[in-house]
Amino acid sequence: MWLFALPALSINVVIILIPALLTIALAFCQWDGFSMPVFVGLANFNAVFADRVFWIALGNNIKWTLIFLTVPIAIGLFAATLLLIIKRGRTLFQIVYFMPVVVATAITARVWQGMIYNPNTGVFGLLQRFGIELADPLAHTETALYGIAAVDLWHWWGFLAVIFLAALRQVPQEMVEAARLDGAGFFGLMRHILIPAIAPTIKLMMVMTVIWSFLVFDFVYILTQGGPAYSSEVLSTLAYRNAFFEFDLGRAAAVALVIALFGLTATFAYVRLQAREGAN
Amino acid sequence: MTKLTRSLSGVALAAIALMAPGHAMAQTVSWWYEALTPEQQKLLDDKLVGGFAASHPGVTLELEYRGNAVENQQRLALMSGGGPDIINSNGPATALSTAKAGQLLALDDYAAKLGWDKRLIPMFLSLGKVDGVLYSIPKNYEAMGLFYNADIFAAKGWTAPKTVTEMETLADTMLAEGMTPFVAGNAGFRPANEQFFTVALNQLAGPAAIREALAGTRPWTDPVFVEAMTKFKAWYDKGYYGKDYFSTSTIDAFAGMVTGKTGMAPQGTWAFSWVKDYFEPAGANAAFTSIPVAEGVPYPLFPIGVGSALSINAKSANPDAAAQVIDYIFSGDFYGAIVPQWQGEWNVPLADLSGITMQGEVTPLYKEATTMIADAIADGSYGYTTWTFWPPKSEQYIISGVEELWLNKASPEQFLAGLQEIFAGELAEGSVPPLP
Repeated sequence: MWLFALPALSINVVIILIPALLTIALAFCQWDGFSMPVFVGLANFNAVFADRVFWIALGNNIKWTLIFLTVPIAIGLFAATLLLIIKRGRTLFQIVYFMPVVVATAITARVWQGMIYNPNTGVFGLLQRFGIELADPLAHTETALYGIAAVDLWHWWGFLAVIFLAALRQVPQEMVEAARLDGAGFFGLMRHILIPAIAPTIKLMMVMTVIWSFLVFDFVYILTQGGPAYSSEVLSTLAYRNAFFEFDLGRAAAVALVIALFGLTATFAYVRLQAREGAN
Repeated sequence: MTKLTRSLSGVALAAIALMAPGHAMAQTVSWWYEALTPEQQKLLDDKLVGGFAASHPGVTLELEYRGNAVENQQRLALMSGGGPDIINSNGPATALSTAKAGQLLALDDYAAKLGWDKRLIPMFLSLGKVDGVLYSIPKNYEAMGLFYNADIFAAKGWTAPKTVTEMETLADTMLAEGMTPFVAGNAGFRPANEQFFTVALNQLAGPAAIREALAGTRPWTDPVFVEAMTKFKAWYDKGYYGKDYFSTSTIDAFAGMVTGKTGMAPQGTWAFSWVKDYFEPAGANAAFTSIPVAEGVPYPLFPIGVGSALSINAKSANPDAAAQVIDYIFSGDFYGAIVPQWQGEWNVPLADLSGITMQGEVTPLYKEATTMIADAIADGSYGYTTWTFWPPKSEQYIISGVEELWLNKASPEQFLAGLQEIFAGELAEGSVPPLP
C-alpha cells in the first residue's frame, strides 16, 4: 500500500514539507541569503511586530478578506442563480463570465492600469475630457487598495459563478419546482432553497477565500508594488521586499509564518465545521 | 585496416594531440544575464560573444538569458556551491554581501596582471573593495544629469538652469505655461522615487554632507537634510513632478518632452536610449548638462551610480578564462563596437577614451556628455546615488518614504528620523557599501 503512496508522498515531502520546515526554521534565524544563517530566537518576530508597516499590511489583508468574502461571492451567487433559471444562452454566459479568469494576471493588471485607470491613456482620462472627474484609484492612498481589489474582483467573480452554478445544478429540480408552486419568488427561492442546498460549496469557497486573501500578491505587486506610501501593502509584498530587496530572509520567513497562520486557522475551522456536519 | 581499427586510431590520435604540450583544452565561461529584447540579445551575441570568440580562440563565452529574477537565481546557486563563472550583481551593495560570504574571488592579481588598475577610473575600482581587497568592478556607470529639449528652450529663450534658484524660476514659468516642469512618474517602476530623491538631496544638501552621513559622521536628521527634504516636498506640492506622478511612467513623461508637455528631465545617463527612441524620430534636439545646485554646492555636479558590477565566482573552474572575458569588456575594441549600438547601457568606466575607434556613429550629445561627466569625476565633482551607496534596507525605506513625505504621511523630520534609525543599524552591521 505504501508503494502506491510513495510518488505523491515523496513529491509532497520534497516540495512542501521540507521548504515549509526550512521556512519555520529560518523565521528564528538571521540570514541575508549569502552567508550562513544565525539563530536569533524570537528577534525576527519582535522586529516584525514592532514594524508599523506590518500592521498596515495586516490591516490591508483583513480588508481584502472582508471584500472578497462578500462582494464576489454575492455577485457569483446572483449570477449563478440567474444562469440556472435562464433556458437559452447559459453556456455562452458561462464562457463570458469565466473568460477573465483565464487571462494572465499580468495582462489583466496592465490593461486596467494603462487602458482603464490611466488619466492620460485610459477610459478614466477619456471621461475626464468629458467633464467627469474620475481620479486614478491606484494613485491615491485612500483608494489604491480598493482599486486593486476591483481589478481582482473583475477577474475572480466569474470563477465563483461557474462553481456555484455547478453546485446549483445538483439541487433536485423537484425541490425548486415545489418551492415555485408554493409561490416562492426569485429571492425566496435563493434564500430558502438554493443557498441552503449549496451551503457546503459556499463554505468551502469562503475558507479558500480567506486562504487566498492572505496569499494575495500578483495584482498588488504589478499595479502598485504596495504603494503609494504603503497604502496597498499586504503581507506577501512585505515578505517579498524583506527577502529579495532588503536581504532579510529571516524576517521574511516570520511574515510568511503569520500568513500561514491565518490560512491554517481557516482550514482548521473548515475541518471542524465539516466534522460537526458529518456528525449531525 | 578495418573500419573499427581506423576509428580507434583516430580517437587515439586526437587524444594524443589534446595531451600534447601547449594545447589547452577549450574552456567555457558562463554568465547569466537579465531579460533582454531579441534585438539586444542579438547585439550581445554579435558584439560580446562573437567579438570575444574572435580575439580569444579556445575560450567560449556562454551568455544565458535568465529573465528579470536572475539576481535571485544566482544567489541561490552561489549558496549551493554552483552558479555561473562570471557573477553579474546589481552593484557594490550586492557584491559586498556576496564577497563577505566568501563567494567571490579576489581580483587584485588580475587587476595588476591585466592592467585594470591603470585602464579604469580609480574611483570605480575603489567601490569594489571589501576590507582593501578587490572583489567587483563596475560593468557600467551612470550619472544623473539634466536633459531638456534644446529646440523648445531656444524658441522660448530659456537657458539651462545652473542654480536651484534659476531652476525654480524656470519651473514656475513652465507651470504658468501649462507644462509639467520635471519629467517624472513612478507607474510600473516605484524605485523611480529614489532617483528624484537622489537628485534633490545632492543638489540641495551637497555631496560633502552626504558623504559624511554615509560615513556615519553626520546624522540624516541634520538640519541640512531637513532643509533639503522640506524643499523637495515643496516642489512636489507645487506640481513640479506633475499632478499624475503615480499614474505616469517616467519614459512616457520623457517622451512628452519632445512636444513640450514636460519641461526638463533630472535623469540618469540611461535616458540617452530614450533620446534615440523619441527625439531622433521626431527630428527634435535634446541637450544634457549638470543638475542645478544650491548655493555652496559645487557645480557641475553629477550623482554617480553603478547599476551593475562584475566579479568571478570563487568556485569557478575557469577563473583565468573568466578574467579574460572581463578584460575584454574593458577593452577599447568592445567599447568601440557596443557603444554606438547601445548608448547609455555600456558606459564602461574606462579612464581614457581618446584612442578608441568607434565602429559606428555616436551622437555628438552622447560624446559631449560622457566627456563632461568624466571631467567632473576627475575633478571630484560627483554626487552619490541611493542605489549604489546606500545599504539595501535604507534604500527600500527611501523608495516608500518619499511617497510618505510627499503625501503628507510623514514630515521631513519624521522621514529622516526613520532613515537615520535604519541606516544606523546597517552601518553597525557593516552593510554600507564602500565610499570612493
